[in-house]
Amino acid sequence: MSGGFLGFDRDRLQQLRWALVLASNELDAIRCGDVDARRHMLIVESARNVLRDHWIALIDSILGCRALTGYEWVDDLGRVDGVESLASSRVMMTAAERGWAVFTDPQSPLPEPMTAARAESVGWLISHLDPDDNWSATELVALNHVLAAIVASPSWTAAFVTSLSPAAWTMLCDQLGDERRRLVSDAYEVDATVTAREASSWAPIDTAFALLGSFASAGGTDVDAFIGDAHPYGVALVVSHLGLDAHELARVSREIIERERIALSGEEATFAGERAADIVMRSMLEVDGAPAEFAVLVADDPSLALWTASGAALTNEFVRTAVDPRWMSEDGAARALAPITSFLVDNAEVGLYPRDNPQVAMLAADVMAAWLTRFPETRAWPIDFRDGDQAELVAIIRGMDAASARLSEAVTTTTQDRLAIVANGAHDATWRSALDDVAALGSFFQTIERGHGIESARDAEAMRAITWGALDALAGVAPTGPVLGWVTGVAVTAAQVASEQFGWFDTVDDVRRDTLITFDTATALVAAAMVATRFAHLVGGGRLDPDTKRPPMPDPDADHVGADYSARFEAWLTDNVADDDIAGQLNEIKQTMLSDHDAEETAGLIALDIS
Amino acid sequence: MVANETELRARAAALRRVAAAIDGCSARDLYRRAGEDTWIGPTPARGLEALRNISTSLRNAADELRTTARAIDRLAEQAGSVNAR
Repeated sequence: MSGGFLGFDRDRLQQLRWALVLASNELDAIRCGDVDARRHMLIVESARNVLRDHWIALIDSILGCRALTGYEWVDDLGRVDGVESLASSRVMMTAAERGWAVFTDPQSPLPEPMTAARAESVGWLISHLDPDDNWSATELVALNHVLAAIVASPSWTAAFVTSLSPAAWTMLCDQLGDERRRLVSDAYEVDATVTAREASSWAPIDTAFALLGSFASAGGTDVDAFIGDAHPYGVALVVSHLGLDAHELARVSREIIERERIALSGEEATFAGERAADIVMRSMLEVDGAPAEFAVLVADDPSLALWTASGAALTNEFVRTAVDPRWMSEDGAARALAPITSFLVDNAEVGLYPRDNPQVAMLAADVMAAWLTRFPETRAWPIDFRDGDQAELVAIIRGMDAASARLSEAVTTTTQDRLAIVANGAHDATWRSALDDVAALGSFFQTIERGHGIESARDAEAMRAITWGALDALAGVAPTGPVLGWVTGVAVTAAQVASEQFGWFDTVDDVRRDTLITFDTATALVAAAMVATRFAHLVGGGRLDPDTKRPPMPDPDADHVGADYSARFEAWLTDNVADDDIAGQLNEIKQTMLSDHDAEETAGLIALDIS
Repeated sequence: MVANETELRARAAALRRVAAAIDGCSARDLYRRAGEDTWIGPTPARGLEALRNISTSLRNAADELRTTARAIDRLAEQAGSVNAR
């Protein structure tokens, strides 16, 4: 129908009609021929005509239920279209509350103007809709139109929220959420993607949820109350518009994801595409610090972050953001990171997780890389690893070239600035700190490596790339000056030799033995390359004669490369550097990177392993 | 020529009677019966507004008639003074 509705009390309307007739007759009886009363008599006559010709006639049509005049009794309000109901919400609410008759009204084609009373009636109307009647596309557009009008005013919003029952919140979340899930799933099942055209089909639903979120936010709705009843999918869509702070959003998100797990396990129908978890995780990604808050909050069950989103890409982006030290405090890291790494170690290579998250090695690299940059400063890894987990994690990472490269890049990034200080900086506390940082990082990975068997040449090569990515960077920080060519050559040669040491091994025993050897070699090479860059700096600055004999290089063919290099370095230092301060600097570098004690211990282990 | 005092006072009295009739007409209070206790909807809302407007128009008309009557009374007084001289 094109018109609206009206509702009335039949007895009172009949009384009004009688009053109109009486008033009309009274006006008719007022007469005056005075010339000065002429204009006033026209007013009286006009009033009488309006009463008699329009309003009495109109009421006669209504009371007479004259179909030809457009006034028809609506005997079943349930058959009134939802759009018409929303447009005539006050009529519907008042008529229903008072038991009045409702008639079609061709003279009121426009929706009622928005007022607080109408906003209240819209809430009432929605609260009394049949929960089994889904919203048609047209009805949804009308709903959005009405809700958008209401949200424009705080008083209308308050009236609406007050009249919308908790059950109506639940019904809206469920009805609109279910429809959206179905549309998304249908789109996703075609080719596992969602086109803009497909997304437009649920855009009105998203608009409705955005408006509901505005009402819930403005009206101070108790989120926990309706989380408890509505399906988590719809709740997630509302929550995404509540503007919650990081802590509260993380708390509510955990509740939603946990409830979704239960809901999904009990559903007969399955839906492809995004879940409630996806929605709240994307919401958290938009709020600074929320992913980190969430990761800490679910430390007792990290799978809530790592294995609930429908796609690995979102999971990995979320976890990467969550563990970023910009957002995660050291206290938070101490609580959240170990459970995450334990989950990755436990699930990376067994069960269904590798299928669901093929980039798990990359994720592991990202988790480690995120905190690697902080490691030299704190000298303590923030992850309280479960026994063996750190080595297992590195093993997972080196199983994927891109993941190895990612971690190697983090090592290079972390050490590059410090290497430049060691090469070219003043010999002061900052210089010593940088030197210690580089050594600490190297020791960390060396410790990991020795704690975990390398079982293939590929493992060994990956490990070298991760651990000694810094070696490649040394050539880049070499100081300019008379021995630049030489020092650059040393750094490049050191990198090449370290790489060549990791040749193809025949047996696991060979790998183990050669790992010890190659690390010993690599450590000696790094020490030598760092000594060389400092040597070049001292020559360039005029502190050392350019003709000074060059520092020795490790002999990769020696049985115990580190011990051999240490001995030859000390002999060179004694014979060629008279200045105590300069000798002290160079010896400090060598000793920090490769102490005599460590070199001898490694030599002993190699000998033991070979035997 | 000066108007007859008696005629002028008769006109003023007639206008006051009309004003009283308008004021006493039940049309002035019709809007009290046409609120949302009786009916509801856009058309009833327009009806209520129309009845309020009618009430206001009638009240203004009655007030103006009384004002006119007072003016005629003054003319009658002037006419009486002239005749007395």
